[in-house]
Amino acid sequence: MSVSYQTWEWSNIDESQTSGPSQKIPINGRTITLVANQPYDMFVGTVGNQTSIPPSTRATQFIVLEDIGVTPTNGSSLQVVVNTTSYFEDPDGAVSQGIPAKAIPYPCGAAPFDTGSAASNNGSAISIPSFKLNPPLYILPGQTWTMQYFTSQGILGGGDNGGGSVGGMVYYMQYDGADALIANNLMEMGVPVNLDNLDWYKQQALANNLQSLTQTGGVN
Amino acid sequence: MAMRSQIYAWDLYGEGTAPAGPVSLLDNLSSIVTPGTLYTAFTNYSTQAVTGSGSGLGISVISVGGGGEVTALGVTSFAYGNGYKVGDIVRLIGGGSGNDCTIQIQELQDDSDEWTGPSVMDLGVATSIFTGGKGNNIKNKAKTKEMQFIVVENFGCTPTVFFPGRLNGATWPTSNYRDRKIKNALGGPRAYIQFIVNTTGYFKDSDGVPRNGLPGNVAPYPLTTQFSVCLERKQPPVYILPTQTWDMTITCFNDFLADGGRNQLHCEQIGQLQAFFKYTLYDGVDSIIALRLVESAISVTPENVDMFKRNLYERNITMSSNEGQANE
Repeated sequence: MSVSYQTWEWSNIDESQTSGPSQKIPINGRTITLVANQPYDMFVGTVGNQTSIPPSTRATQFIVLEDIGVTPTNGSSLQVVVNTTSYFEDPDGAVSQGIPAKAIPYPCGAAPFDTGSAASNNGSAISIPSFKLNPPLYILPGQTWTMQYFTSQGILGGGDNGGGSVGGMVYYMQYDGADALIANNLMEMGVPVNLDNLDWYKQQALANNLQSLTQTGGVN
Repeated sequence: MAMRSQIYAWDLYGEGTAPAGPVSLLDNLSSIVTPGTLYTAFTNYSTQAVTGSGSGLGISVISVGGGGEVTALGVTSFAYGNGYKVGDIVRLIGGGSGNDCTIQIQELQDDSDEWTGPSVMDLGVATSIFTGGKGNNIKNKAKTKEMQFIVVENFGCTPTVFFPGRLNGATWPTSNYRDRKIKNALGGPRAYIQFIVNTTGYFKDSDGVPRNGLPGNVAPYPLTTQFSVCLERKQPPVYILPTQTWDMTITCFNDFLADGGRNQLHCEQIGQLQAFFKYTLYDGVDSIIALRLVESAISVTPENVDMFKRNLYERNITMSSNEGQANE
């Protein structure tokens, strides 16, 4: 089946320290300062682990972003950019800074940061996603996309525990080949693109094909 | 029904063997088991293992009593030895002594990268949880038989929390945050899991390159109150086709158990680094149906296999009826 699930986890840990057989993530890495009010690309930016090329869908691919998350610090947010367009907007249509981090905590259950809360500081508090990304976010064939992390308060870098780390995550499904075509068809039909509907479409197609073959004498 | 659920759980300390390594500074009172005789102060002695298999430890006797019994000692510089475990007993020998002073190892060097054993893992190195020689392992490589088909449905490993630092007002107790130490601004191993089918990594990054795999934060194990919100999220099924060899690796990047600067993880109790997966084994006829479902690009689930069987029976009954062979 040409559907693959993929994830990408980014953090502000110095990629230049990477060594050894496992590339892109350093051992005991040093965190890097994130300047306030500046977007940081999670895939091909200047900070943290990066991919070799920007994420994009080929002509025979279709991507569905299922889930996203980021460390729930005060004043930070996550924005999805498709081609050159930021996805999340304010009600007046102006581009926003994205989804606030506290609405999409990562890892799931991370303590929300609240200076006045003992429960937040000792980790006994938990935060859960404020919503489900439904409908999910589609990346159509031929589109490039990325994600941007933004903090209004900044994150201080440094070695050991002198600095702070934040992490962001995206979890998506990549439909390839014939499955991408079906995904496109489902979208055109206004049917949500997910595995169940993909299976349903195929079963319908197989059944129709069988019926057609039977009626035309194609099968005994 | 020839399909059944199977589970495999791995723990870096699952084999139950304490790590071995170089010896740390000794505490005089608790270390000296037998003070011995005829020892000389300010003299370096070599050692001989009484229990355990360590070697190379040198001991400096600092003070002795009237009969040459040892009253204070320390580890000789650059002679910390290797292969020792906490609790091992060694004898101080040579230098005209009675060779009868024994001491017990109380602590290993926390800041060493020379620890060994099944509960010690190198950071940044993908380690098989089946046959990697770390934690509890299986004897042989995992391989499906000709009439078997495996779908791994649930999996996970120890998650990690991010510590955003004081600038964001986080005043976490870095020595005990959610029962963990915060090291390098991370509370956990920063672990990734990857399935290897034959020689190919299953999870790929967005540029198509299979690297470390899935982060433990996306697939946490165990699921606790603090890491349970992911329950609703679907996990990608991993298909292992007939006659394929397969493996699951874990790669860690943060030394959260020692001093934060080591290139090894030193695991000293169960539950510090874990991985888990649950799979369904389709056997015999069910494995053939599973393959047919894969060929039709339909998800292999127990429900779909059952659906396939039902359709088969229905069609068979219909054909039998049409041919007048069905019993009314």
